[in-house]
Amino acid sequence: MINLLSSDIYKLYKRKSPYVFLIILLGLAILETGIIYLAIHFATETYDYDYTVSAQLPALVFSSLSNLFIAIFSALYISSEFSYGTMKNITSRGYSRMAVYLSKYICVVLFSFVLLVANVFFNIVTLGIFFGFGTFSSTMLQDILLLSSLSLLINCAVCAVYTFFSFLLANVGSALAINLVINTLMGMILSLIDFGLYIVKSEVSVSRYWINNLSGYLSVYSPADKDVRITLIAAPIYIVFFLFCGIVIFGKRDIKA
Amino acid sequence: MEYVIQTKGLTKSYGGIMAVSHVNINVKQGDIYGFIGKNGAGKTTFLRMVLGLAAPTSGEIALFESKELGAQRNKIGSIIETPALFPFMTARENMEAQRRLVPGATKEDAAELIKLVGLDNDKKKKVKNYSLGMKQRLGIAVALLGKPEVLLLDEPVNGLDPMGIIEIRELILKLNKENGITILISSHILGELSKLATRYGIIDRGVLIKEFTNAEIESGNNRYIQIKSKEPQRVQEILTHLTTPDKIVIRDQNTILLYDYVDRSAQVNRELALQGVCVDEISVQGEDLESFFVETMGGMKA
Repeated sequence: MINLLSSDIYKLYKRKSPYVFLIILLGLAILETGIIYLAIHFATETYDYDYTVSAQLPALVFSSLSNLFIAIFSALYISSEFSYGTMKNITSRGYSRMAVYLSKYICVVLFSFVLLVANVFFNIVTLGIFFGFGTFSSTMLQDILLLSSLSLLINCAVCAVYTFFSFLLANVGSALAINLVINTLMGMILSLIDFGLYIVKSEVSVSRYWINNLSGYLSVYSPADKDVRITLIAAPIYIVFFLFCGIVIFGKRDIKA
Repeated sequence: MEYVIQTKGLTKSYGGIMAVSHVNINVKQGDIYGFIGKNGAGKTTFLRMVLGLAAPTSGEIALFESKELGAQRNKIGSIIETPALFPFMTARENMEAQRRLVPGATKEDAAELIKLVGLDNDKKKKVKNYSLGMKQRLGIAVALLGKPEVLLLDEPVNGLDPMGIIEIRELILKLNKENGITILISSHILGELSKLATRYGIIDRGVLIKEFTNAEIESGNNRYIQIKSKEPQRVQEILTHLTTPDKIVIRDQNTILLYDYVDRSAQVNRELALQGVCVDEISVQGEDLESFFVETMGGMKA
């Protein structure tokens, strides 16, 4: 397993896409903060909204953009091993399929953490420069610690979903398309189901449990206990379900490319 | 240990279609084993099963006379179909990515292998800019990481230019003779295979038809008269009056092989001339792999 991880991390390090994603994150952080700053600076009305780092940090800890990048990255990183045929080199060396799958998953998770940390860091710097850092209380710091842990847990679930589809489709184009559809349209599809349930007088909301939507309820100081509880239950279910299905399917399939 | 690869009744079917059917194969240590078959005969599927890339439908595989395949596969290097490489990396980087997978392989080993396959001068060149021959050589270097005892090469000279073919051939012979690596090569290019292999197995439509050695081809009573003429049908017609049809093999458009009258070729030539057939060339030859293959397959017999 250590050998597999070492090789996978080396491949990650040698790819261009991770660096491109980080540059885009930096560019967007500068652009977004700059536009807000200019909009406030040139506005004729006074805005009563706090853009200091301390006020924005709960929102920064959760990034929907990093979810999108993970969807793209996992398709490029995992499915390309099938397209290049290099998956043959790994599996023919006697490693178990489960170890191969878990090693790739861990690498995607590691990269997602890098994205998350980079996103928070870039935004702290840009917001700090443009609007200041604000003040932090010990309670706020405790909340940030809790939110960061929940964000990492959600990230692990997001990675499990995209890793599953990247292995399942084993083709860069297909995996990219499906991962993007899941990332952008699944929330909308589930909202439509919610609407259908609402029509039949049901109060159940399935979209509430979708991985991309979990963070929306948490990006505030002192999040509601119910929202924390839902995340603590839903995210591990995603992780276990998709890892289990992925390992079983990958374990039984022939490697063709 | 005598055998490095043994299979017993190895079978793979896709939706009821047999890709490999009950193959029993025995590859001895030190062999260069030529795995012969037409395109789609089941060679690659067989190799995939040996390497664990495809699960057998039924049958058994033993590697190094052991059934613990996961551990034994560490001792096998392979190239299946095309060399599997990352195009955005250099040769050294590709080796490094693979080296980390192989317990005990050092950076020095990787550097030596790059040198062995003659790619040490292209340090900064990305693999996407490599020729097919260079990729093939790098593929072999990757397969050799960890000092494997067996090398499985699937169509290693496919698509190579003549120089590339010679380079790969010399490399394979060197690995076998100097490093003692057992090599299993699947190919349908018989001329090339006959310059390398010591033992052979012929597979057709998933079935292993025959296993034999170079010595068997050479020592067998397999001499024949090779007749080249622009009128093969007429030659065949005349020869059927001299011998039985099973002694006549049409190799290609202009070549007929006669497995009779080997010591009386002048008589055959005279008969053809008397019948007004123009013979371009007539010679007595020992059987080669190609004619052995054609004869075994029985597909072009008169």
